[in-house]
Amino acid sequence: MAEPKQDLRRIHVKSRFMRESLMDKAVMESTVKQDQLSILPDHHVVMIGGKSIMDRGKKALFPLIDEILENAPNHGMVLSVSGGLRVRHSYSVALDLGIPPGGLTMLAGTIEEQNCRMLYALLAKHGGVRMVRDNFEELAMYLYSGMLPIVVPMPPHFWWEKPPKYGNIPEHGSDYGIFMFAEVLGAKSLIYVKDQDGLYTADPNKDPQARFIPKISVEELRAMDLNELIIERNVLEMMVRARKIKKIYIVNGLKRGTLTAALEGRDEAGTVIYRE
Amino acid sequence: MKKDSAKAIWERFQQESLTNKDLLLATERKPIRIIPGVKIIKIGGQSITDRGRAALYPILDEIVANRRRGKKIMLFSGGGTRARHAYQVALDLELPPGFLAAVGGPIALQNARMLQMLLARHGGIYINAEQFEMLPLFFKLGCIPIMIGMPPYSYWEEIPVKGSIPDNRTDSGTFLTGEFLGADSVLYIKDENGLYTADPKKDPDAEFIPEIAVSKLLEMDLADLVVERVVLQYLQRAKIVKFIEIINGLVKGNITKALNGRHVGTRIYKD
Repeated sequence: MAEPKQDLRRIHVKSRFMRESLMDKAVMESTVKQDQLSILPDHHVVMIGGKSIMDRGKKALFPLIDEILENAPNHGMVLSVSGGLRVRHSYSVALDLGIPPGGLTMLAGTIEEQNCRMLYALLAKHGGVRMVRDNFEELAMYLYSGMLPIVVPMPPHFWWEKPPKYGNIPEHGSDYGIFMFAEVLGAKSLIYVKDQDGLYTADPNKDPQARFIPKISVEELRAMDLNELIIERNVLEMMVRARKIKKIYIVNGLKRGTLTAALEGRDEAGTVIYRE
Repeated sequence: MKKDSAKAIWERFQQESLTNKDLLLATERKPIRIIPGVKIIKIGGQSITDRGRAALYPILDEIVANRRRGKKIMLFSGGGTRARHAYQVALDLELPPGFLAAVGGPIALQNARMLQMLLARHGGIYINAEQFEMLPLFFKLGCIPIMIGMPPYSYWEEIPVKGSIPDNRTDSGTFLTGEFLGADSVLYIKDENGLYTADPKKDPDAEFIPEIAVSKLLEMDLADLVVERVVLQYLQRAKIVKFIEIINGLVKGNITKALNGRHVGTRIYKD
């Protein structure tokens, strides 16, 4: 290339961040806002557990779908379903092969696609519609025409999964992804449908001493530092930083009426984790 | 640390929650390198691209020369002044951080496309996430793959620790690509010699730091940094990348030296 003349000055667009380092603490502090716009504030986000509900098949899923459809006329919602057992199997094979965490994330998304397709097959005649991430900006069209969009919960981290704190399993899984989805939209509520009544101090299937926690603040729950949790840990971390989602529900999808109670904002639905 | 065999892991996966710390620790292992020998280079947006041809042309000449010598170079674009303007407007509209990430990405895309147009005749090829698995082909053909530095999180960007500007921007996406592909180091081309104790453009007393361990740097808790803060955390947890290096692209010869393994800027090492 020809030798250019030496004018190294920058061509700026004038803005308050011009010439600033965005890593500067004072600049970061200056971007703290009191308010944040709610993008889709009238709709709920319902996350169906893969291992806990979907993998159980018809027996678990059909009554839950009935309940979703009963509520759909009054409570608009976005549905999501995670991967379950096949994700775990993919992880164990991939780990053995030496595949890095970003590769595991890619594999998990594929299994969730399967589950979303199956859910779509069941809901199509009732207005179920697959929303792929590229169509994120079409959500309003689906929701305000009364449809039930079905989204893959894994966040689109793909190969760019961040190195996990412990081990090689991607930290940013389905619970995290759907939380971020609900938070960025400023959704009305976020409900995790699992196969337990909610959160316990330990796994109730293994530990008869496990105590049910009907309601707890996220700060308190983090301080307890439980060895096992019913949702991914970084959901709690994000909840502390969240600006819109102030509480999440964990309900038992095997019990009729719990989803309805959560959609109606009744705390007895299951476990409520809230932020002070 | 005792690592469980694949079979033992699968047994545990069926019984236990993936939030179980002990189970997670049992999955710890060093991953394979996807593209051994890959060289990851990010070209700064505000620091280089916004300065136009005077800054960018000599850098690209050097990169092309090194590609011809057989280095498997992959380029990443930054955002820069237009991204900052977009952030300002989006902030004023009180949009969530995920939307800021979604409007920051397209600016890095513009810069990646400009890099591709400049490098097309030397095998510069723009690739997006969908073409990521074709990288071996592009390297075999002698191409210089160019990607946006921004990770693909967009609306799913995590909530920033402070304020509303996304924590994961182009430095972070570049780093994570290097870690996934199996690069030993990640090179950031900026307009400073490297890391200083303060912004050298504003503070004449700022001291140059030629090399530092990442934990030490985090301990120093500097008010300003030359790379995105999250990159330091990722480096700490990285399993492949050993260090990142920030070099001054305005000094001729720096890129070649750095690609040959010589220490020319600031190296931040994984502990």
